[in-house]
Amino acid sequence: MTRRTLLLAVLVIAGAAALVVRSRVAIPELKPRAQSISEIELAPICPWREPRRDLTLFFPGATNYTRETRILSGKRVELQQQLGRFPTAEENALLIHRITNNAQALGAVLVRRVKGEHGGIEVVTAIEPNGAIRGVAIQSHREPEPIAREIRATNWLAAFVGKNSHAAFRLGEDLLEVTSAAKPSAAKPSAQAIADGVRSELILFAVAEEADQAGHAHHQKHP
Amino acid sequence: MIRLIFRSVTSRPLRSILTFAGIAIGTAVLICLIAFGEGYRHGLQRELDRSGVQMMLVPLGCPYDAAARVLRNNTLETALPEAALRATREDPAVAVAAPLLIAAVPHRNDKRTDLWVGIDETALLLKPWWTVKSGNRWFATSNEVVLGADVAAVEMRAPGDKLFSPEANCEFRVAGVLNRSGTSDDSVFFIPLATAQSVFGRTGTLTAIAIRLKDPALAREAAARLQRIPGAQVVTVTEMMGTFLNLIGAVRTLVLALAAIAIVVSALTVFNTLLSAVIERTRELAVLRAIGASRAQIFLLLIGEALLLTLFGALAGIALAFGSGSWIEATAKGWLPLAPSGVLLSISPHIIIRCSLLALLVGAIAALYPAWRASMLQPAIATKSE
Repeated sequence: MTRRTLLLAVLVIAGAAALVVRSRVAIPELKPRAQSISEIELAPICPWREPRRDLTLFFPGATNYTRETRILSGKRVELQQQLGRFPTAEENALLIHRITNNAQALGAVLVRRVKGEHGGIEVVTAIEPNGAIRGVAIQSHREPEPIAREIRATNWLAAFVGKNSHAAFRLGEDLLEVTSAAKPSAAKPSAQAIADGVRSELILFAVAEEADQAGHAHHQKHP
Repeated sequence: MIRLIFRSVTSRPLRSILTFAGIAIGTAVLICLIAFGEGYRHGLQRELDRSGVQMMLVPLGCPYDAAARVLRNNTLETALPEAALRATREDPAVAVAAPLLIAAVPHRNDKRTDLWVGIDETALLLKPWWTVKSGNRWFATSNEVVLGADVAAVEMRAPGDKLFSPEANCEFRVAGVLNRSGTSDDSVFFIPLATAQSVFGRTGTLTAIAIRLKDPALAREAAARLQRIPGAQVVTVTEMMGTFLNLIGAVRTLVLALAAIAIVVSALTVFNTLLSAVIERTRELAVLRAIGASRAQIFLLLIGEALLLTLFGALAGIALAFGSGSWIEATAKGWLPLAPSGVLLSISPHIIIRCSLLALLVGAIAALYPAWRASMLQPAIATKSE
């Protein structure tokens, strides 16, 4: 090791120390220029509460899963076109759980919180490698029992299977209706929220995957 | 002189780097320790002050554990009889006695737990800093709920929305959503006390009573009177703070001892490095003396080397403290009986300057003997053959 290397190392460390100290100590808190800008508060990320149970249900051959966060803030125009609304702040990022059997990709799992009639509903969506739904499960909710029974009904959830990001998710047309004969179902707003949430997740996932493929093609063109 | 100092330090790079690393680690440990201790004390004081409470009436058992749990909105296994509230309010020294009924409702299937806290209007007197993000600060009807900022975000609720508790089989209407406070209130569903007692099947019982006195000087006599309430015991915030600080103090002493060892090791490293340098460079130093360097200049040369090593070591130690601080804080918080919310590791310029000066002082002291020995070398040694 030469003297010059040592001197360089010492200078680099001292410089790093000075930068860290400056960033932590000296810089005053930045305020928004416009007073009208309101604080944007994001909801905590929806956790995947029961991976083992859901993997057994949707990907029985799975041996592993990995988490991947995709930033979609650069895709807001495409997202807006496909969603038919402005993407929310939470939709700037998508957490994807990639499911594998050893090295073979089996699909992905997305978890999303939607606004139910009586509280947040957490929905798990299992997706095939081709982007179609493999299965949907409700992992958490606080709906009263009659509503919970309808939104957790196996046949209602099964109607999601096979749909992709281009599919329609209208209750009673593309999905089963949750209205019972006895009275208009109170489950309808929550069911609609779930359907909208699953569709949004599929679109976010498709946009993220398209961005991946475009990047891959670009790399192949320009190695 | 400065060029000579640099040359001496860089001429033995491995030894210098090891010395430098030892000083860096010692400084980092010291900075983290002092910053964490001060941050913890301030955080605890802030949290206790913010609770607006001077004493707590809790069920019999470990008073500190009970009070710590209640302050963090955790439930207790035992309960106070509601008669204790009347007795507390009748005490002449008590300005505000706010009853609390805390119910932790686990959702076994969903792997989460809801914290419901039943309060009455007196709670607002103890929490004047409560501000609503939207809606109202208080309940208009008995089936309304005020949500902490986090639960409102997780449940995606706004004022006027419905909220159902499947476990209590009870539907509420959201009255308001509180602004984020950075305390455990952010994760709580607040409902009227009577409603909480009814839906959680705890009629006539309370988890604790938070007390504010008319005059803090009356604490001792008020505590003596309140202690006589059957099934209840009093714990003052000052006692709680003292107990927690004592607990932390024991750990702090241990870690201070470790930091002292780190400093002593750093000092010995500097001492060893310089003494070796003096022995190896005897001839070189004697030549310096022979060509006119004074004893003081040789002495300062060695002290300068020590200060240079210590200075860069201290700078690296500061960077290391900032880099590893969040990890140390996260680990330490897990061990603490009552970890205040917010950032506890507050590395202030004051701490940095204090620790850096200490490191420089230790370096200079460790260099005294090698520097004195070097300054005592006779110029004649330079003329001796190898």
